[in-house]
Parts: sequence; C-alpha cells; structure tokens
Amino acid sequence: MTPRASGVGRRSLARTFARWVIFIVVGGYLLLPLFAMLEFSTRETPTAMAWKRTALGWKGIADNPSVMSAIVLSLELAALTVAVMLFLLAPTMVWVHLRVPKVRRIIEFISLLPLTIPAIVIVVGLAPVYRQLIPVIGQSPLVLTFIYVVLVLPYAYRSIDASLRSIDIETLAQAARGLGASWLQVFLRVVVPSIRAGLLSAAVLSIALVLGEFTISSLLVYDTLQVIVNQVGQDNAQVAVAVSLAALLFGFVLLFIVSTVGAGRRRAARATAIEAGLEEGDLYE
Amino acid sequence: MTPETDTAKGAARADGSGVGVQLVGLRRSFGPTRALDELSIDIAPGEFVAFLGPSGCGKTTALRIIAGLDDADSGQVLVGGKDIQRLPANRRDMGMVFQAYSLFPNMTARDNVAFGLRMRKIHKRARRQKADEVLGVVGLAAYADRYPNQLSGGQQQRVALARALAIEPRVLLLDEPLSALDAKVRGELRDEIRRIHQEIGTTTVFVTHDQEEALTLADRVAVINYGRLQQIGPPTEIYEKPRTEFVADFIGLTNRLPGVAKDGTVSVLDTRVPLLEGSVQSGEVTVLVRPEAMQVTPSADGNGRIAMVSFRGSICMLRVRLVNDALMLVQMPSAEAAQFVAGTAVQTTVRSVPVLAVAPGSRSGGRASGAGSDPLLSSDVPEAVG
Repeated sequence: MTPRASGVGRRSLARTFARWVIFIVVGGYLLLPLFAMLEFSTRETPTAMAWKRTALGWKGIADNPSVMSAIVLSLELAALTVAVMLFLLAPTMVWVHLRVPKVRRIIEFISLLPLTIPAIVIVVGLAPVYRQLIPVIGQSPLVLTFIYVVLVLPYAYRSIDASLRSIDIETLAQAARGLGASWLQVFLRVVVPSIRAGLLSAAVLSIALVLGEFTISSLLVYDTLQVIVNQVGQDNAQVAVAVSLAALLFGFVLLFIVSTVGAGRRRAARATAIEAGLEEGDLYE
Repeated sequence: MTPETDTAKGAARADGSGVGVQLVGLRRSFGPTRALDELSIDIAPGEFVAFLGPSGCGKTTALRIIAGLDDADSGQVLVGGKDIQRLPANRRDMGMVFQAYSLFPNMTARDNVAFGLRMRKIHKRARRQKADEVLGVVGLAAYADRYPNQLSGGQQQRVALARALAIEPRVLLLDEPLSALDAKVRGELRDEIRRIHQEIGTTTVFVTHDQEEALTLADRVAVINYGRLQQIGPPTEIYEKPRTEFVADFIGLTNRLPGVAKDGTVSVLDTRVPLLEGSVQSGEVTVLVRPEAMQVTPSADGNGRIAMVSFRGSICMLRVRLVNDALMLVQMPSAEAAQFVAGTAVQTTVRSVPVLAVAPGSRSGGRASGAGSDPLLSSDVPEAVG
C-alpha cells in the first residue's frame, strides 16, 4: 500500500469513527428519556430503582375506562382532523398552485398564523363561537376538530406545499387535461398520487399534534388523551407515563411508515435503471 | 410587415388523413404585451407545420390556444371547419407533448400511454394492447413496465409522444419537445417524429425556436415574430425566398450589402440580380445575400482579401474583408476553397439568384437575437458599405 493510499484509508476510518460517535451520542440523547419512561412505567416499586419489573402500569391503561375513552376520543379527533384538513387543504392548495398562483403567499401567510397565536388566545377567541355552535351541533368533544384543523394548518401546509413544489404540477395537469381528464380526474388520478408522500406526512404530523394537544382541550374542559394523562398522573404516575410512552411510540411508528412509503419503489427504480446501464444523472434529469 | 394569411398549399398528405386547422385573426395580450396579433394560419389535413420564431414571439401561446390551455382575446380556432373555442381542453381530442417531461410519475410507461384511453373508458385489455402497440411504434416496447424515473430524458419524451398518439388525436401538438434533450438524442427523436408522422399522418403542429428542427421536420414552416405571421411556406421557399427582412435574418446567415434597386433588379457589388417579392423596388437599398449566393475568385486587384477560412467538412466558410473594411461571409465547397488562405486577394461578387432588398439601415428587430444554432449569425457580420 502506498503512503498516499494509506493516508486516504486512515481518513476514511476516522470519518467512519466520527459518524458512529455522533450517531451513538445523538441516539442516546433521544432514546434515554424513552428508556427512562419504560423503566419507570415498569417498576415494581415506583419510588425506588429495582431490577424487578411489573406490567401493572401498562395494564392500568386497559383497566382505567377514562384512559381508554380518552384514547378513543383522541384517535377519533385525529382521524376527523386529518380527514377535514385533507378535504379542505389539499384541493385548495392544488387549485391555488394551478389556477391562482398569485395568492399562494397569502394562503401561506394565513396557514402559518396559528404558529404565532398562543393557544390561550385561540381559546379565548373561539370560546364565544363554540357557545353559539354547541346548541346547534351538540356537546360532543369532537367539536374540537374545528380548532385542531386550524392548529395543524402550518404543518400540513408545509408538507403539502413541499410536495407540490417538487413536481411540475401545472404541466402534469395540462397533460392530463389534454388526454381527456376532467378536473376531478386530474386531482384524483394524477395530483394526489404524485403528492402522496406529502399528504401522508401532513396526516402524520396532524395525528401527532392532536394526540399531544393539551392546552386547548384542558381549557375547554374536554377529556382528551393528554388531559386524562395529566389527571391519571396525579393518582398513578406509572399509568400516565405508560400512556405517554405508548402515544409517543404510536407517533414514531406512523413516522416510520411515512418515511418508508415509496422508498422501496425508489430503490427498485434505481436498481433497475443502473442494471439497464443508465447513469445516475440520466435518471432524474 | 403585414400579417399574412396563407392557404394551405404545402405538402398535405395524399391520403387526406387528419383534419384541417385554421387560426383566424387570433389576438392575445398579457398585460401590455401583445403575444398574438391577428395571427391567421391555415393547416391542411395531415400536414406537418412548424411554428418558428424567437423566444416570446407567441408561437407557444398559439399552440396553447389550439390545445385549449389558454384562451384567445379574439379570433377563431377552427378544427375540421368547426370553431372549438368553447370546447374545454379535455374535449378537444388533441395530443400534446410538452417541452418539460410531463409523464405521470406514479404510473409506468404503459399506464402513462394508456391514460388517455382510460379517460375514454376503453376496456382494460384493449387499452393495454393499444398502449403496447404505440410503445412499439416509438421503440420502447421493452420499457412498458418502467416508471418515468427509470427512463432517460429521451425515453421519457418518446413515451410522452406515444401517450399523445395513443388516443389517435385529431391534431398532434408538439411544444418544443426536443429542447431539453442533448444533441444526439435530439437528432434521433427528430427523425423518429418525422417517421411517425409519415406513417400515421396526423395533422401536426410543432413549435420550435430551432430553425434546423423546423426546416428538417416540417412540410411548411410558419415564421412568427411579435405575434404576427411573417411568412409561411415550404422550408426551401422560406430559406431561398424570404419575404421579410426578419425572415431573411432569422433563417440562416445573411450578408447585408448596399445596392441600388431599379426595374425589379438590384445592382450589388457590380452585379445585377433579380429582386424577390416584398423587396423595396427602387432607390438605394440594403441587399440581403446568403453566403452561398456570394462568390470569390482570386484577383490581385480585387475588392477584398480573405480574412479567415473556416473548414466545416464538405463546405468552407470564408470571411472576406472588403476594401472598405466591411466583412463578408462566403460559403463554398471545401474542394474549391482549398485555393484560398488568409490574405489571398479576391474579387467578391454575387451570383444571379433572387435577393431581398430592404430600406437602407433598417434592421428586422426580432424579439430575440435572430438565427438559430450557427455561430456565424447575420448580426455578427458588419454591414458592408460602398
């Protein structure tokens, strides 16, 4: 081995080592709290460290009807929020991109507003609206959906917008129109499949936000997951931590699913193309 | 420069397949910019017409209006004699290929090609069969199951062409489909487009700013500038008999020489040559002469000297500096040019072919800088005086 080759080999080894160190430090920083939650939620004696483990905290989730109903409610709210958000936001954004791109900045500004408004201000502002609405639409906690749709706007907007910008939606729509597609067919058969990753990402972020939301539901006195976790935590901290960890893991699983959607196909595409003798640069020109 | 309406007298297909397209007095403005200004063109059934012009001349706007992707402020688009202005794009039965790669990324090549058939509710088996057949026509039968990101740029444009052809459109619209491709692939696909048109015979409108593409592919070329039709005709006519200064400047190379016009002829470099239609007929003029219409002979007391000889394979391009310091371009076969080297004294004359004469000092003023891909543009050649 020449001195030059040996130098290159040492640098490569050092880089690999540095990558692993960073990976382990960051991974440890992120995972340690989760392990701590798992450790605490499975302790036999909550007040002292011990090797003996118990699943009582986790069983307590199923045994506590208020926890179960809160989980169901939060999942219902998440599903409804995602449905309403996608139904309202996706067609609107596609329409704006295609037909009135001039108002894109206005839509973006409006969508980002909830980030800048504190939750308490939103509650104070919307409480009178809810007082008017509740006699009409009922006392169901699902009315929180309306606020949550507003809350998830900034995150959903960003995800969908990034997807729309990554494709030439105008040319695709024009091509589809020229081939005989109605606007609905353009949306459902061409645009939605092309921005599927963005829609999924928006949905997951919305679910994560709804499952983790506490302030608004607490102030409006609705027993969502985080409100109940807080209440249960005052009586049985292990159950509360178990529920929180379960919610976190649920969010991680969703994120993992989204990040792997399409990755398999992209890998296959790359492999087939390279097999066919195409250069990498030819593929995505 | 008057707008021209020309009846379709080009090389319409003998079998009469396809439908005729007429653009009648199309106007379209974008704010203060007038993209189309009374544009009128007749396209015969089965004809291949190229819209040629500089960037921003309105050629793509005209195509988009035909496709229904844009609306004219006034005027008519007649297809098969019927005004289709009110028909939405999805009911016009036109196939279009775009400059940008426009394949649907979530579909395989076969599904892309079958998309138009699916919109027409053709049975699954029939549309698969048709898609495979058309993919075969563009030479991509083996790539039917690939996604767009598994195809090169040239292959994607072939699939886009197949997709447009699969619906058997009344009119095929091609919006600079070759401009994003490298030179080799562009040449291959250009030949492919020509072959397919000859096989299928669909009325085709091809938009390009590349004169070589237009002259090679089209039965007739419509040269457009500032939204107005400058001239329409077969490629040879456009090249050899330009009717306006813009067309002469935009297509190929042109020398600008002073001359005196009289009685349908013009005296230029001591030679009297006939004038083309559209020329200024009397008085002092600027004569536009193609490099191949110039000739040089060795002469010790001639009117110029060879400044440079550029070898281009079968032909050579000579730069001749006249005694008044003006520079001329002369094209001749390489075999004849062998006798010339830089510094050779020559007599420069003009062959007796019809030329266009314009008012002295005028320039065509195209929206962009004239001619196509040749590095020796007319604007590079200083105007000869005296």
